[in-house]
Amino acid sequence: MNAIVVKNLVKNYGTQNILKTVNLTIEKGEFFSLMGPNGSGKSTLVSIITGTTPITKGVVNVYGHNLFEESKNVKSLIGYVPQENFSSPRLTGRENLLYFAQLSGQDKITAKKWVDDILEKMGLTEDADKLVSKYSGGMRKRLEVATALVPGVKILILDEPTTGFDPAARKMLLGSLLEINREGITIFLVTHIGEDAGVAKKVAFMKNGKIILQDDPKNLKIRFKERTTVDVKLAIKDTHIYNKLLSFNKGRKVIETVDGYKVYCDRPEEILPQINNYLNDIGSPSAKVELNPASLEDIFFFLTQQESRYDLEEEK
Amino acid sequence: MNQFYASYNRSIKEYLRDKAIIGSTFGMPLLFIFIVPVVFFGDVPRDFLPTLKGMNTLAQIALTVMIVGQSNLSGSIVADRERGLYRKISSLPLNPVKEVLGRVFASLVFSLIGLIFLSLVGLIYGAEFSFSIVDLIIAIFFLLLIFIASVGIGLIISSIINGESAATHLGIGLSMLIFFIGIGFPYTQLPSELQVLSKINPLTAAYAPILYLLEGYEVLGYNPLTFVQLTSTIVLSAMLFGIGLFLYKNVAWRKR
Repeated sequence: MNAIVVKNLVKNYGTQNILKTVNLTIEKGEFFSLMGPNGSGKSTLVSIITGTTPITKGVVNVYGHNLFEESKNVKSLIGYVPQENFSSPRLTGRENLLYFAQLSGQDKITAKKWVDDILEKMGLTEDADKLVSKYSGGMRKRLEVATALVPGVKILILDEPTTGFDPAARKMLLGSLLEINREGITIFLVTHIGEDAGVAKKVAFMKNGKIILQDDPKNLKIRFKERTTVDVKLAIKDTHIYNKLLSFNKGRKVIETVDGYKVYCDRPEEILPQINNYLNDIGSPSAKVELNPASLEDIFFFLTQQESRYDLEEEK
Repeated sequence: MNQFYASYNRSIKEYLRDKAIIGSTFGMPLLFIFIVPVVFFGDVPRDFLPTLKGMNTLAQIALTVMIVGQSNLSGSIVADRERGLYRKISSLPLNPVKEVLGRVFASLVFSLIGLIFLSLVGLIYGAEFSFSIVDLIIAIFFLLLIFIASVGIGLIISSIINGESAATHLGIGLSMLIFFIGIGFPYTQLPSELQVLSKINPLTAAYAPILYLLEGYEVLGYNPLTFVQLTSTIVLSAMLFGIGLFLYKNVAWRKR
């Protein structure tokens, strides 16, 4: 049985067509990740699956139940973690968990037992009785993930949970998600971060209200192996250099990185000599120019932000 | 019941742990208990002073109940919405009415704490009341009407206003406005147009019997326990609560 099946889903807000015939299947126990730029329709899709937004057309089934005909059954199967920090800072971690457990219908004794178990599982037992206002960002998000794992939940939906996290906190949260997934919970992760999406078994890319591609991350990297990025590492970044890189790349995506620029291009062999010559001309011998295979994040940029070959094919 | 209790438990803890809420709810009425007699009762004969202090204490209790319903409740709902809590809880198999009734009950308990605290302060400061147990029970019923109407206004505010600060300040502003037209300044001291308004407004109309029962006819200036007056007060209070509940369920709950 599939965990989530979305068939020909259309969502309009007035005359605006937000979701254009979305089709999606997420298998039971799968770790699924959805990437897409702002305004691509990800949040609308998530709010539909969590039962908080009505649909215009189509069908959404969760574990065989029709989302809108059996809303109560479906809602008890889904644990949702929105992007915002929704836990109360004036309550302790334990009190927050107890609140959500009882709100989900558990009696006080069962809820207390569940709270002890989930605190241990999420590594929060020691800080359980501290006010959430004293928690770090990573701890607070782990607590919020825990609120979504009340008994009966089979699907965990997370909306950009690692935004603003340092690498250690991200690693810890992703580790917890993998652990949860190993226990059989289906995970639907919405993210902008390629590394986060990389832990999933299947990644889908969304653009303009459509799923434009979905595959295993390893397959994606093989499919996009010809796609490379040119990483230009510089001691000093400069607008002139940025503009020049942009002109070499014929106006296509060039982004600023911590130590230079990343050029997304179809034919790196054409612009690589141009970049090297230019850097020599301006006297930047310490500059380092590297050709790198596309990461998931790069594929995300290729697919969603550039007029790439793949996009044009999709439009056709 | 679990959902109601969860909502109540969270709300009452939030109220009791928020210094700003405690300060804005109890601070101003407490100050008024001490300031009003000094500023306004200077020329009053000493014999009449305990009654006036009693009247002032009752007015401050009514103000507290209005602030809790109109400002604290609306502010906490809007703050939770801004925090994304409604995005989360609307994905749960949860009845919005049970959830909001938990919040309302927490507001009632918080009001009760204010009632006990301000009554004690008033009594220590020399306030005097004269009533029978029956009068007290009826007066509590009318205080409940003020609470219900205030909660209705609070729920309406939380449905139409975005931003915690805006909701809280609007709630305080409305409470003060109502306070000055028929509660802080009683019926006899109002111009005739405002006297009419104070008999129609369910909050001031519910306050009048409290004053009448606990301090006497002379203090209020008219008999509010007439059939028409009582019916309109009960119906209008229930209507405000009903509209608030409807808007909460259909607007505030779904607003993002």
